[in-house]
Amino acid sequence: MTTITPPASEAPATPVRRRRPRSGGGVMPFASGRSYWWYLLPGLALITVIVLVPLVWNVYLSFTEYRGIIAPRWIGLDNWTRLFEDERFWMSFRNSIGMVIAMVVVPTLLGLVLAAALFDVVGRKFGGRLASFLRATYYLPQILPSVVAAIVIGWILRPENGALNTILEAVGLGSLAGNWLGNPDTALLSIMVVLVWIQIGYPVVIFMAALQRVDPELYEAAELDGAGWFHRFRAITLPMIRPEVFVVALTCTIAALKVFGPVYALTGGGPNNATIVPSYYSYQQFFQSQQVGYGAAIATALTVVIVIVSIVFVWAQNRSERKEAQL
Amino acid sequence: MTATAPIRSSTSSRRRRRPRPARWLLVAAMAALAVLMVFPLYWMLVSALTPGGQSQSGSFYLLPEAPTLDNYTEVFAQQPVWRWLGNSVLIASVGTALSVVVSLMAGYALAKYRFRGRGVLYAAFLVTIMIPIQVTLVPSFLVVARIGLVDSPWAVILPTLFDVVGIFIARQFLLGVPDALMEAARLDGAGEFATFFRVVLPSCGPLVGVLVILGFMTRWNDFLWPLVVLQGNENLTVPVALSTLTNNPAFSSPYGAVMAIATITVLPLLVVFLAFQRQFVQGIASTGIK
Repeated sequence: MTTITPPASEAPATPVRRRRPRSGGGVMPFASGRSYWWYLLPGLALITVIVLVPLVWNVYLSFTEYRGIIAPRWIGLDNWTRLFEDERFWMSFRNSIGMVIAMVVVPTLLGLVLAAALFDVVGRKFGGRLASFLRATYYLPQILPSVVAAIVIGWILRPENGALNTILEAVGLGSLAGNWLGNPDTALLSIMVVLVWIQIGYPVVIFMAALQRVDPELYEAAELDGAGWFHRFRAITLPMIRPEVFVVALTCTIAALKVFGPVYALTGGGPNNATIVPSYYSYQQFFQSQQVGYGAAIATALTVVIVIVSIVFVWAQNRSERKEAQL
Repeated sequence: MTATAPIRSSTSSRRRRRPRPARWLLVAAMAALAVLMVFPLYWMLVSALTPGGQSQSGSFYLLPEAPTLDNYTEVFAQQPVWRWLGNSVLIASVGTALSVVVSLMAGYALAKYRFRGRGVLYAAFLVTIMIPIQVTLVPSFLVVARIGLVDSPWAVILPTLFDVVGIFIARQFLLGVPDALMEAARLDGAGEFATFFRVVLPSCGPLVGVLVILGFMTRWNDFLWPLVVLQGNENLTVPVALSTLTNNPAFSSPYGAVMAIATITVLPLLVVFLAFQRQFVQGIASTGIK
């Protein structure tokens, strides 16, 4: 179940035929000709129009004052110097750290434990059906539109008669009940809990798929040797699925830095900017304050941060792989 | 076959060892977690079936006392819900169909042709995963406004046609399609495109399935870009409509209505997810493996 398997090779049993190489035939039979350009053309055209041109345009806008009506006016580095002195801008990136904790750190750690428990204990002792049923329920929030997920949770967290507060009162913990999203102290934490709920199924599915690669006899043998659950987890599970852990951590970090929908639907960055994130801040500048140039600077800064973080990630991964190879 | 011995011993050992209490505890904890994961969805359904006034009152039900479809009839009467659903279906299906074609073609070229700059090109495609939509938002909006596409479904569809994840999955799959297949077609005198359409594509059934399911769901759930380019109430997609409805004070029971529409939004996703769980999981898993 790890990857989609292509159809079984229907290759002729005879050795690869190279009797009639095409004119200018290369190493591969399809190396000749330029027809590949036709296949690449749509993708190349789209990447240019949808990504490259707007990206460059946006960087240009970040050096201008532009309010959406009169043409952009070049103001050099003004937006950028303003950015570095902007308390709210730094606040938004501090909150991004919270998003990374909620979308990367917690789901990856919890996902490792859950995937290992589902595969190693539930799957082997209670049957694969129960394991895949549990996996499906964990994955469920992932298929929801993030806005819908946020709206539903907002409904549960709402201060007057929300399900959470009502349940807390019913079990005698009424003193804990609060205005979860309206209180600056709990708003960010509430959003983080929502993101964990949304995110957790993704690593579970990927890690479980990765575990299919592991030879079950390895576990059996380790168990017969008296290795406990945690020992098996550390000695077999973790090293086997390291590549997946890396991919999950990288893609989720990128997603966490971009997060928008839940913040928009749950708090709109409030109360008092307690939950503002860079993507929401730039959106606000674009469409609510009409400060398009400044918003463009925020969006560009966000992109730069994502690129740097990704480069560091890949570099760290390469280094640890090289270390592994030396051992 | 040396493998038979350990397998037999493992089955006999399994019979000997019944699940121990600690294991039951673990399973109980995981089941409790499952309940916690599903509860918000369940609560959404309960709220949708409870009259708006009641779900806002102090009374609290785990089960609605008198389930009713009032919220549905009310919201369908007052809001163009069918239009929203239609918009979502149109945007998601046309966008998916076109982007799958783009992904298959690009993936085919990247997997099956050898040419100068292929690695660089593939890397350039992959790098776009990092780019947040905010950084292209304003220029894209300006273009869409200039060519008069605001409020048109095409404004939503066109920018989603380039789908990196789709290209990635397509390339991974097509790498596994044997060259001999294409070579044989070639020797039979098939041209470049005949080879692609008549020989390669027909062997890509599972790939197309995965691309369609993942693509449709992403587009169905898309939020920020539709929020920006769709403005008239009639033209919204369902997620955007939902978020505007929650801020609508003119509505007598906004949350009953919102939850009613939320269930309708989620239902097709649930059906697709449950029906195609295997392809789904494979699709997700294949994006996680490089």
